[in-house]
Amino acid sequence: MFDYSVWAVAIVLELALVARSVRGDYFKRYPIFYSYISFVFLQSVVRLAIYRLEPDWYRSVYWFTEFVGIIAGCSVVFEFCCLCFKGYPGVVKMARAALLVAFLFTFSKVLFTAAEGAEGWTPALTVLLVRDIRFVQVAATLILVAVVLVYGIPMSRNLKGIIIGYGLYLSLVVLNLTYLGVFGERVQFIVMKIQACSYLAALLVWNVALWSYQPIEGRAAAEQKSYSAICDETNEQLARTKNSVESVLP
Amino acid sequence: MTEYALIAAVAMSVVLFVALFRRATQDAREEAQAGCRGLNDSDEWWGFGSDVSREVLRQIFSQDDEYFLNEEAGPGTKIVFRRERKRLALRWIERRKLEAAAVMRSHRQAARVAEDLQPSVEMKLLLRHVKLKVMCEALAVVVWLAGPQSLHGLAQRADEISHGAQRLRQAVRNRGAASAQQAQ
Repeated sequence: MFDYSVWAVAIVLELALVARSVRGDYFKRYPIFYSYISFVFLQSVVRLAIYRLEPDWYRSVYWFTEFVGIIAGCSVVFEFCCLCFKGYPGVVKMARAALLVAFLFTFSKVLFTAAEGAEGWTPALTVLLVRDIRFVQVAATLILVAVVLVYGIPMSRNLKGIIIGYGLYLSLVVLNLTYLGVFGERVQFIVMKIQACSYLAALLVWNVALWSYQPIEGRAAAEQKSYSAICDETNEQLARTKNSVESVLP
Repeated sequence: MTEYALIAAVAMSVVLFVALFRRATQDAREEAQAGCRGLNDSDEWWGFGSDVSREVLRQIFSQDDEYFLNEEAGPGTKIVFRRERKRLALRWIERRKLEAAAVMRSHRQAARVAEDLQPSVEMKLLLRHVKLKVMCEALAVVVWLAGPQSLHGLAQRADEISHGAQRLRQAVRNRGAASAQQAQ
């Protein structure tokens, strides 16, 4: 009963999000995000239908759509990057470098798990692989949020909602999959419920944040200096402060 | 079990120390922030370069007044003097920290639109800022624990210890050389 209720509420919320975007023409503003929501909406309907009509197929359909969903989720983060860092070429470079480092650190775990799977995929190994890929997404999202905060990039309510909702969902999924990977089927019952609720929470955040369109305000003025000149100035000022502090040291 | 208790005790001590330090320097932070916002006009002398600022700074961290008070003043005056000196020194350190943070903030605002930004240079600048911040924190801890005028005293003591260690090393080396000669 609980599973069906969560499923139904999620479908209603997804439908509300898509309907709102069609009515307000937000689809043009966030095409990838709304494509993702439409995909997840269709996925939920298909999964529900198969669960009711052909329960034997459910497992394979679930994992197939789960992996497609992960790839689609990456595109949401990509759209967030494109919209948020528009007009900030310096920050784009910084974010790219940071993402590369995060990717190198986290993707090795995915490869390691995938290599283990070459000898035969067990359910636990599949769960661990999904968790590792999700972890790469979590790392990427955290890095992007850190870059946004450090460089003081202005964000609209819509963008904040997209990234907070998706980040919340990802974090809970990673936690859940870790439990599932460690404790196995003993905790599957509760893990699946928490996962469904986490997606519901993300949908609520998205519905609130994307109820109406809000443009990004406070974009940087076009005034540009060469980076070396900026660094020289910063170095000089930092050196002055350092000298001042060192002058009191014996 | 004992290891866990030990780790918990160390962690609690660290937390307690940090909490006490933060509480003790809270006034200094607030005053420095108010000064940075331009609420306090009497902060003029904190600026860089002026003769007044250099002289006042030297005076805050020097031992001259301490020596004078030891000879001339009563215990009550000494307590007030030390408390005020510590407050001034902590406030000065907080001000330097805020200045460094403001420098980095304005750097980031300018760098975010620079097309030729180099991530490696950004990381170096960040490290430089972190080093400066750590230096200020260490200085603040020393000032909080021992007072600003003790910095020179601590340096002298460190110098004496270092010389003592050197002398000891030399003596051990000489004795080793002497016993080697005897063995030959």
